Amino acid sequence: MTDIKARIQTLASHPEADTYRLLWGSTHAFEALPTLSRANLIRTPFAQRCFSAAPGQTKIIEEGSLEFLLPRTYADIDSEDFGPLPNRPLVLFRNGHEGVEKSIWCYRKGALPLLAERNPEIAALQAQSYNTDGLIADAESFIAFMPYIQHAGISPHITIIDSSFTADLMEALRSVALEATLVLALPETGSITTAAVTSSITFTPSIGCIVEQREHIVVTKPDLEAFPLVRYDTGISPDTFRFALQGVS
Amino acid sequence: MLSREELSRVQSRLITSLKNNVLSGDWGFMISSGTSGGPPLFSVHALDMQISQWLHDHPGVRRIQASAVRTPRPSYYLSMRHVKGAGQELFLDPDDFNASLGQLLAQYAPDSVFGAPSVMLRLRGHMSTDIAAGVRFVKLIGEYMTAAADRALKEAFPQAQFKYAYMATDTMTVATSRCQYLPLNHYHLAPRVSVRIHTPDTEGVGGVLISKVMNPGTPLEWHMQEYDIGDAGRLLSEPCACGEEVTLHVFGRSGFDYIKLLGAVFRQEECDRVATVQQGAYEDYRLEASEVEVQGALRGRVHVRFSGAHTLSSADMVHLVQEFSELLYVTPTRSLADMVREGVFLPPTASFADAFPQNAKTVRLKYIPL
Repeated sequence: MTDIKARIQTLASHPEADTYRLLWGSTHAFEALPTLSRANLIRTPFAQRCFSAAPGQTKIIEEGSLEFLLPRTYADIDSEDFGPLPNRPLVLFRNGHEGVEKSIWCYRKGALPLLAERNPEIAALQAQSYNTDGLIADAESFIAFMPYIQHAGISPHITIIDSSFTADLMEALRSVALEATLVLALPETGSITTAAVTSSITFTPSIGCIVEQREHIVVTKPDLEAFPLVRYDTGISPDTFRFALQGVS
Repeated sequence: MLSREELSRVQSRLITSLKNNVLSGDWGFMISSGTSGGPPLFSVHALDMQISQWLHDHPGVRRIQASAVRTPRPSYYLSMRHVKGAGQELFLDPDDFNASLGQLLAQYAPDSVFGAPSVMLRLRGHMSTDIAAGVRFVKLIGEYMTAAADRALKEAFPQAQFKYAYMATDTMTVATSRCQYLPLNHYHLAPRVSVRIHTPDTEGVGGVLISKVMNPGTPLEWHMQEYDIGDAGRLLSEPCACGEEVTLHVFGRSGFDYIKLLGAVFRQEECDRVATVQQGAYEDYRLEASEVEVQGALRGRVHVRFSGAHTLSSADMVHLVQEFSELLYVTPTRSLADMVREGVFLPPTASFADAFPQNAKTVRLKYIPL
């Protein structure tokens, strides 16, 4: 990972980084930097959310009744830790932008993704035809799809990418008795921490990611090209991960 | 002739053959939107980078790909990976067409848009005049272009260059509008594609049958033989001014954009014209045509359904459908009313609906088989 001090200096002088300059003032010590909130990010003009002109995907992110745009370069997507890469991945996401992003990740890692129909019955037929060996999904889509896994006769590795993992989800994962990985992520941050689902779940920060446990989980991904994140307040309480959140700085 | 059912079996075999193999690179899974009325077709295709390069040779810095169906199509989307100079991509599906879209487009300020004509017009409805004027490239696929839609698009994106590709999920690209001499809905065939017109009429118009080498040079190469794509068209007898020997003129989907019945031709474009003349009386219409046996002879039957905010009385509907019939030309010289007077068609009937179901593609003409 880039030297964080040097990265902060670079960001502070970047022509598009008004948001950080205004937020930080004269403070440049990493630990003392004020956190960036989602509201700060939304208020940042779109042009200042695009530090790089490199090709990539711009996503629409939902925030309650609000929606905002966030660009990501292909290099940003490449750098994500979305769990083990299946040979024949089935990608299932309620939000189309998230599904496309995870499909791009699969493509660029060398696997042909099946970005499935949202109708779980059709998705199950597609998965069966393709003999999918890995399911990458958000929690809601997985729960909707779960009854079809055994019916479709597939036994994929499951990766859940989401911002929370409910008791219902954990019960569902255990009931299908398949190998599973949890990836804590937000649409604007990408992966934050990952954990294999075992009897004792331990989350590990994703590569390139500094994770702090404060009132909320605070994440720093300084190497993102399109919009580097420094001390981003995810709004996610670490308490919800009491059962799991270890190995985090 | 390859039917859709046979094509479905071929695709099932191809996908099954992937079970123990790993494909990577320029491949994409597709599922048809089902607007042709058949069951959805799940298929796998190698991306045609040659066509992709042609379609996107002016890629734009901020591009939009918009789809009318909720199934995202990353194969289209990802074809941009190889295009030099490509910038950011914003992929829109029907969930994104909401009240927030206008302000998002104002920020994004696209310079290139890609999708079916009806979706592009819908997208334009969420753009301010300034943002639409910033669009330099409009790339259209997948739907028959009426003259009205073409005019509307050119007014909607006044600074844009337009490109058209004739394609379907079943076949991928069949032909493109790649020379300057081609009128609307005329195309030159893509590489490794040939076309035969099935049961042509005296003007050479009939069903378009596509033959194509699919997934060339790959382990999944196969020969599509005379696939009935479901559209009507003709092959021009003269070479194009650009030197291309073969030009395909597409008339739209048989039984939808274009219905041939008992010597009459119902074209959506012509029906839209009549609806424009009757503007204000109703908001939308659907025309259903069928053949019925009357005392041992076949006669045509037309039923027009009107919709709008204000319910029409029976008398209003009788008047409107008679006027519709007088205004609607179904041959170069005869109106539907003329053919009713000749006894070829029964007098048209009408009904009223508050609104029509919203589908991925607005289908206004429908042929009801006997």
